[in-house]
Amino acid sequence: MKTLLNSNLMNITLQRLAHQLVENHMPFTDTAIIGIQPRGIYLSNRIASLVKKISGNNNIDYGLLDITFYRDDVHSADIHVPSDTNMPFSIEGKNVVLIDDVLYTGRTIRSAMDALIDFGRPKRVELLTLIDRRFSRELPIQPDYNGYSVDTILTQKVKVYWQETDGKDEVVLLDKVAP
Amino acid sequence: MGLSVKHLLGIKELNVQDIEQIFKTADNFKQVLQRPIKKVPTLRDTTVANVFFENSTRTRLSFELAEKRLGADVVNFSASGSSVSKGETLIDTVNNILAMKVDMVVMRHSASGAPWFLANHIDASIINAGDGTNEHPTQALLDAYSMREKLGDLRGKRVAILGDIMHSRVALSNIYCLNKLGAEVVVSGPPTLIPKHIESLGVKVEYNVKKALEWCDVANVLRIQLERQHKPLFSTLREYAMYYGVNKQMLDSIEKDIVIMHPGPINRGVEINSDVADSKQSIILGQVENGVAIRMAVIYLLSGKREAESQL
Amino acid sequence: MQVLINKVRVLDKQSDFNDKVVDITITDGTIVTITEQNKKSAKTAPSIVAEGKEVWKGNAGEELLVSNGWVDVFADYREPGLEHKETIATGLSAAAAGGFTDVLLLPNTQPAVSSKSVIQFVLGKAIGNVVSLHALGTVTANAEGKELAEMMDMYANGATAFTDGWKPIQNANLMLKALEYVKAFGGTVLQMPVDAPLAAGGLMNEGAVSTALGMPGIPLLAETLMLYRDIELLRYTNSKLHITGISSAVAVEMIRKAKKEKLNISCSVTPYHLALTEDMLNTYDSAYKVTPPLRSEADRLALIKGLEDGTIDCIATHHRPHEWDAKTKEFEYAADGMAVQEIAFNIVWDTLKDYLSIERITEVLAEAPRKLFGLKTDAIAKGGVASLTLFSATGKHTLTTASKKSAAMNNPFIGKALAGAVIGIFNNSKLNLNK
Repeated sequence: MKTLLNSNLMNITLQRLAHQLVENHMPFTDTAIIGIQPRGIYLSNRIASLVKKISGNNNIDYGLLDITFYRDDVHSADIHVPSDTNMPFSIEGKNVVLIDDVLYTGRTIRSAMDALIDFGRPKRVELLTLIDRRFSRELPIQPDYNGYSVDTILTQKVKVYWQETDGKDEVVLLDKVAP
Repeated sequence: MGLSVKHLLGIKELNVQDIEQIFKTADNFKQVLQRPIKKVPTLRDTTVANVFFENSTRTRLSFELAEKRLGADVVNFSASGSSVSKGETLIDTVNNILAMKVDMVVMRHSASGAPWFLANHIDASIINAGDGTNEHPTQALLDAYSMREKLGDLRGKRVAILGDIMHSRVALSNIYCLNKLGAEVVVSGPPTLIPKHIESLGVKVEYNVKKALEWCDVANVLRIQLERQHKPLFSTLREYAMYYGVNKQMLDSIEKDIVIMHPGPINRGVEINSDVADSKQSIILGQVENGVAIRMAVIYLLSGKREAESQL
Repeated sequence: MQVLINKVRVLDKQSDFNDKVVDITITDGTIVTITEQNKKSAKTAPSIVAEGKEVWKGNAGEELLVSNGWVDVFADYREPGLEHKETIATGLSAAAAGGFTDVLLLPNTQPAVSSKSVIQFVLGKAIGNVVSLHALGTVTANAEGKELAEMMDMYANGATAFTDGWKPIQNANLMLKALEYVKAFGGTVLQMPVDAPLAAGGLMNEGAVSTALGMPGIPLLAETLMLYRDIELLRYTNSKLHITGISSAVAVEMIRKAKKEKLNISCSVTPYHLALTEDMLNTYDSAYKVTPPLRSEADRLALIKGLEDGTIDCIATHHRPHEWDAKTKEFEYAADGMAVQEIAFNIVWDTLKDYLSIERITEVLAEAPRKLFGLKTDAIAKGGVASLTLFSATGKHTLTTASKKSAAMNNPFIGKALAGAVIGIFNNSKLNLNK
């Protein structure tokens, strides 16, 4: 087990990501921030509140998107239980920033984009991630904003801990024994 | 995590977690149904056959809509009367359909237990859309879901099921479902339409409809199953409507506002009057709307893990 | 032909050798010697020798039993008319395997056994068989329940008793006339107590189980009301009545009372009503669809009690053969009945070994039915005509689809290990051993 980001580093990284968003999207009148259910929402909650603080705009469109019904592995694993989608605004013609914690194969983001366009036609979609596992992509998807890049092999696992649910902010790399 | 069962044969076989999971998933689908694009691509690789050996318009329509909104391909097979009269056995009929690469079967059949028989003889998942006088599980799920939407947690809530209990698969499924969710159930109707041993299922019997209405929070008024009665069970529809039908006057004489439900199709003026069916207390159309979401949830949750394509 | 049966215990109250271990010699169908065994040979194994050759040998210490030949008082072999379900030939093979030397054959064939010619046809099919076939004639013409059949003519041509079989007589007046009519020749009427209008539409016993399964029920009343009627008709006519397939505690009590009142009534029970209850229907398995329906555990225990105290006289297998397709259907459309004749003894003994002695079992399988239906029975003694069933009360027997003799596919006991074993029968000067 190896710590990739400790609490202190994580805070700095989140601040940087939020500032990058503010830099590109101020004043957020045409931008919506959308966290991907279920695990991306801790990151998106943090980013959304940081962005609001930095920009001084408390009315930024922020929503949650569940992608369960858009997955491409419905029949290969046990059925996934859906989470709530909550997007109380239109994304038609907006700049959308999708947020997920770890970018791995890219399949979740593919599903998220499919789900997203069922709600309307955004002008532009960007991707923000905390961790980018490079060299493990199965689809041509890259983040526009990234916290930390890591080179991993298949048997390893990246685990993100959040203060809200796990009592600490930390990102670790776990070595799992190959099956 | 999916359901504890491979088929939905009846509510009897479900546990509370299963029911809660179906409701939770239905919440999500209900959300989908309120979007401009009321459709998801989840089951675009799945074909569902609706096999109806008994006439049904609304249940089949509801299932078909649910399947299409999940992105599934749908085939319909209807044979009024029994398969027996056509000379083909149920197994043959269904195997024929499965040979066309169908993944799930939704079946309505006039014989109690027919889905059990089918489940023992074919591999595909089966959803019971009503079997004889036994169960109609998706109807009970949508009824309980609609009640919960209106009243919150059903524990301790009082539900009266009125009318033809004996010939109703909705009644039995409702009783199982409501029992599991902790509601109290009273059945009410003419004694000839109430099975003799119904109390063994943990419900109470009240022959006086007015008293049952006074007692309950929700009244689920069942259809008189004229087509399923073999024996002389009541005199005339006129007498039934007068003494067992639910009308506005009766409801007005009760202190509280009770929720009125009906699984349809309604015999207006027989078991329920239009002034009740179309009143504010009625959630009959809400039931219909919830039916699609509940059926989407059931189909989705049963579509789970599929065996590797058969080695042919 | 000479047959030696060595070291066999006799179960026959008529015989001086009852409960004794003996060696029996049979020549040309008659017992020529019977001698009690010495105690010192207790470690030797029982054996059967035919024409000087040992054809069967038990294990040392194993007990071989012999009684008068067993009788099945209610079996349907479907011939003529429904030979795809069973024929008289396959049926009799099943009977022999089941230890039955005598079978009373149901008349619900196509055409029904309702005339002299059909009686002759049926009996002719069994000539030369190791099992003796006894025809039951219909009470009403073609078992239609409308008018009386030619019972006297059938009786004169070999009919043993009369019944409408699976279609019990509904019309009280007709039943009354039938009971009176058979008095002319001392005949017996058999009736399965089912009130058809009350049972109509029902698929299983009405009760908590049927309610939970959403299945239309057959009320117990369908049995008891009909039984009450028939007992009263019997009282009125003072005739002879055999009730078959009683299934409930109430019915047992009614018959117990009628017997106390000295009515000439007897009754039989099926192996499956002794062994099974309505709980078997929990998965809608049509294998357990029977008439009368399987009932509650309390009813089952009352039947066992009835058999124990002599209220119930004998076993009727209600052998009702079907092909696979007829039974493998939705419960409502599936054919009714089980075909368990060839393991009837095992089902009964497996169920009752903790309740009844093997002696009582042989009474209900042999002694009682032979007496009730006037089948010729010599004591197991020197000079007696040998009609014998050889069996064992120990060990287990498993019938398989490959080993079964009946053509029928509706036997849910196939593949189950059941107590006891039928070794074979000797009847009509022939020995038939189960391999």
